[in-house]
Amino acid sequence: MVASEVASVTEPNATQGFRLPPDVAVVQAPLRDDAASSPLIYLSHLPSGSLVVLDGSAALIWSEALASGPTGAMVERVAERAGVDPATIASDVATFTEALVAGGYLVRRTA
Amino acid sequence: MTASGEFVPVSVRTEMAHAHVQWLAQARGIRLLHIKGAALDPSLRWEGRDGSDADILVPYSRTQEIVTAMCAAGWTMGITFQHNSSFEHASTLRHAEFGWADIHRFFPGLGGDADETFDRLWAERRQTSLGGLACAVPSLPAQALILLLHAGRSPGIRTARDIEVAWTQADPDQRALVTNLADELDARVGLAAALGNLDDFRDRPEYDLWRIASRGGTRLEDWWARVHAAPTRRDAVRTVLRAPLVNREHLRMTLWREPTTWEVFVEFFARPARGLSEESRRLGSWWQARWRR
Repeated sequence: MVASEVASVTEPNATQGFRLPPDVAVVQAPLRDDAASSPLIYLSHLPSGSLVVLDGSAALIWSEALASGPTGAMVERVAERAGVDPATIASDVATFTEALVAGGYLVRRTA
Repeated sequence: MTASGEFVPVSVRTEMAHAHVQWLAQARGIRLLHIKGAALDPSLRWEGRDGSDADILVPYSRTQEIVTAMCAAGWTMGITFQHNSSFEHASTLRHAEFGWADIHRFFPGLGGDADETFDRLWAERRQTSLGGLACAVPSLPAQALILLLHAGRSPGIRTARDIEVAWTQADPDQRALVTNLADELDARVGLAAALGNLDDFRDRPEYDLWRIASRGGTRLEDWWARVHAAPTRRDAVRTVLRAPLVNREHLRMTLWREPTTWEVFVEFFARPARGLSEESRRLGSWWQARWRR
């Protein structure tokens, strides 16, 4: 899969990116006894109040999804931070990003 | 993604609690000031100072509204205002996911009309982020004053460190800001309780309440202090009439279940007996001290 195809898998409209929904609370906290590792990300819908926690690659994908600007190459950034080939994770990143959108933890930015 | 059956640190739950209540308040146009714990300015924190619940100050006139909204959103009442403390200032609620929240309808030590005091604190508010939501917090001098007032009625190792950070280590200008605010908000008695000069305010009606809160006292002394500090005659009478009643909420929290009728019955007689017993011990100690001289 070439870079342009990778980008199109996760960003149907590459100019959009993602943002945090207004009814989601987020708290980042380090792992107990392992402050050097990436923090866990706790999310909760408001006002329903059901907590979920993202760790490892899940937390990475969520963070980079929010960081992606209008021309962001999210998969490539995730791959770089994870130290893997973008093509090997593109599908998984796309699937998980869609899950976050479907779960209401991410919203696609509108133009 | 992991479901919420995982261990969630208290600090995370507490910050989520702040965000949840903020969200509920915003939807109803209720102003909140988030205080202490997770809402505290970093300059007033010391290492290891973690909050175990979310403390939130609400305008007195809108307190019931926010408590009702919280109960509708999954919070359950722990202890009501009347039974939480001698000052009857806060209600404790619990959420299965977010832990504990203390909803303050006023803050002990801050005098005057509670709504007007809230407005005064609101006028100089700052903003912080809790759970990703913009939340209002008091100004830095007000945060320091609130910490000191809390220390004044809850002496201990933690509050001693709060006094150290909020007062002892403060420079003269910072202290002046705190004392000026205390003057403005009629908070000198509570501040004195924290700083060790409470006896300078023996003539104040709330002196006994703060003396007992800061130094301890018997149950009967506590009740008489509440009566003496009551702002109106009606409030004083109400306090006297409530004295023998069983604190069912406290009994529930002690037993970790709803008390039975028999347990409430036993407690009804045990409470005054405990109060008289404490008073007897106090008088006994006093009498022995006189006899030894």
